[in-house]
Amino acid sequence: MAEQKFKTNPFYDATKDVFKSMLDMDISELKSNGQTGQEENVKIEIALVGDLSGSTIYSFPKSTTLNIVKSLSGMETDTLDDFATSMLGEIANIISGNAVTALSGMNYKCDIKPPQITVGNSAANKDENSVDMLLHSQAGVMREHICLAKS
Amino acid sequence: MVITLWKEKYKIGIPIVDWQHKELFDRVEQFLTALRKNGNWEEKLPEVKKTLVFMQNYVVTHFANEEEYQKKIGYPDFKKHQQIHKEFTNYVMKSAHDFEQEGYKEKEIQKFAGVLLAWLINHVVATDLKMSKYVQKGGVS
Repeated sequence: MAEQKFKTNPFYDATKDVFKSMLDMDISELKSNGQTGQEENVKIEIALVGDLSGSTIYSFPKSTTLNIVKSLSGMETDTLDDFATSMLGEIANIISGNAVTALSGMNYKCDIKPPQITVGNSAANKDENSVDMLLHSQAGVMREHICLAKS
Repeated sequence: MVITLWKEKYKIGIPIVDWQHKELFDRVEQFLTALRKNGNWEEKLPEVKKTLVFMQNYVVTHFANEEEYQKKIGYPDFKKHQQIHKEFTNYVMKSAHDFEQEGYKEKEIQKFAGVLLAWLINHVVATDLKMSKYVQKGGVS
């Protein structure tokens, strides 16, 4: 369990802080049912390198994505276009950057790679090294799939 | 399409900086309005280019002014903040250069706009807010 803390806590705290400061939204963790529904998802993978290696995959269902875009830009849109997906990519990048700063305080020095963004229905593959968090905010649900191991 | 970017919550409590942030968000809003309105890309492009340059010039001006202010107040995180500005300015300038070289592809400019907006909002509500906290703690009169 202690092993999992370096995987979940920095990412949960960073997500909570970024959602609060940027969107004025509160984050809470839900019991995971293994999926975020049947909606199309914006999937953002950010690789970590350094003392820890692996990646974090952020999955934002379409409705959550569009609510976030609306909250930040005031724009009503119904499509997952390049503007919307890259905005979410940058938010995931900011969250990961803040999580890496917190990890350095736990003596894990890491860097992040640029976000890789895809749109689709596929879910991240779970394995023994990964931890899933299903999160909820006023924008809707989102999932973080954290797969990290000590290098 | 109605775009409203500026929110009162973005004010950090330093009037000169708040005024410039409002101006910056207004210019980004003009760029996004040109970019996101309905219509043919070729028809929208002249306005997109014009507002892109208008916005990008102000990013440079605002960052320079903010850094001058930080030096004046002896802000201890000045170097770190300056580096963040430098990296983002480089990103904006490189993007503008690439758009020109590659013929202003809509897909790439839409992607750039998404990153730009999220970055700016986070910069104001997180990084610039630290400067404000320093000022409010009595770092400067």
